[in-house]
Amino acid sequence: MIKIIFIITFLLSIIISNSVFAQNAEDIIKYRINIMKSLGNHISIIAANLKGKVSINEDILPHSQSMLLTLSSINIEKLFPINTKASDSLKTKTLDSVWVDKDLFQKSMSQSIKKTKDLVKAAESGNNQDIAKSLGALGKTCGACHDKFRKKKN
Amino acid sequence: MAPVTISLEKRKIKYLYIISFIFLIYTEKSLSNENGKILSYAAGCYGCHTSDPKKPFGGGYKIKTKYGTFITPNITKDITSGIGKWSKTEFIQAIKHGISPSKKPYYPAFPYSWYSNMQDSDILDIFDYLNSIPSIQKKNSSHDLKFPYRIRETLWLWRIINRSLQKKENGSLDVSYKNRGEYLIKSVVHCSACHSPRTWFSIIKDHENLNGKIETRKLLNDGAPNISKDKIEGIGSWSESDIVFFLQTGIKPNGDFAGKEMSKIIENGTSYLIKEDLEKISKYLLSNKNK
Repeated sequence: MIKIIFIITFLLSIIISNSVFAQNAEDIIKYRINIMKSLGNHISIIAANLKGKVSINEDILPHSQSMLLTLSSINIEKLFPINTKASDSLKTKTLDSVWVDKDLFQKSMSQSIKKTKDLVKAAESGNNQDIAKSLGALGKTCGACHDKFRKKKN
Repeated sequence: MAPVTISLEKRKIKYLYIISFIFLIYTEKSLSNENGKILSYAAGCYGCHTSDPKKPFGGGYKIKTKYGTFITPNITKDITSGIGKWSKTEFIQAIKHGISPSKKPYYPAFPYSWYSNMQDSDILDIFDYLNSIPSIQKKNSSHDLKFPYRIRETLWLWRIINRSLQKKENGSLDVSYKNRGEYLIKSVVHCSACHSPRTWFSIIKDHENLNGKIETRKLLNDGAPNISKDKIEGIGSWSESDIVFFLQTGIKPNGDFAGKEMSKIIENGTSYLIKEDLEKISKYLLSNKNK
């Protein structure tokens, strides 16, 4: 009887820990999606001003700075833990190359931070042409990173 | 003294005429040179004929396809491997009909069927621009194609079949454009080369259709998405300024970015177009003609 109780307890603990583990992985995936969306929102806000859709140009600098802060504070180990890889039970657009080519991923992230610093500098100058140029350069870096590390849309 | 004063005045006027004439020619030449530069980027000449940015238009760019790898040639004015010896007529023939000065057919990886509706004046502006930039001495490499595609002569047969199938699919091959936006999209920038579905024989099914091309996704491992005015599948929810900004920077309205292939086209092509032309492209893409 004790043996049976032990086995059931053991199996239950495995099931529970696995589901907690999966739950945690899903939460991290949602969390990193929100971080990426927030970056996209900052870019949209800056772009809306550059396109002349709105004329709240004083927003360009704080949103560029927010982007720099967000990108600089990303901890790759915490935001992309190995248990958040795509699997049959876990859906994510993050490609396995994030973990296979870790150095390149880290390098791409550093490159994006460098380009965002250039954007902040341009935003400080207030010259919209320079801002558009820096934003385009940042976009190219982000796009290159997405190409290597994000699943393409159908 | 009076006759001398008159003759001096006449001479001054004569010089003024000559200077104005030279100035006019110079302005016209520099304007056409600027047009040639813009078009040589927007039409993809730079993007496809540059493998090393330090050697612009020097060729050597590899285009990987299911038929094998095409390696683009040098199109600088170099006499040995470039277009230095070409006449204007030969250049127009190459661009519009895909026939080289030695009367050999070009592979359709070179989009001459789109350029066939380009204005001769625009083609000649490109020719003048290419002849105004530094020559690059760079030997051309042969294409690395699978059998039977490597036999260039088979292209003559392909051209005949392609022409008749294209007529069947699209009606007349002679196209007239109603506005500059349509001309830039359908001829110069040749958007449908990637954004239109094709038949089994690589014929564009419908030049009016920019609903995306599945095969391109497989081939380039990238998306050639739907750019019709459909609000859900296409870009119908974008505004004109969204399209202009995207073609300048690669940034989409939602803050996302263009994929690898499209960002190259933007960087080396559409971002060179003047804003007025980009606005005309946007207007066309959001018009009822772009179903």
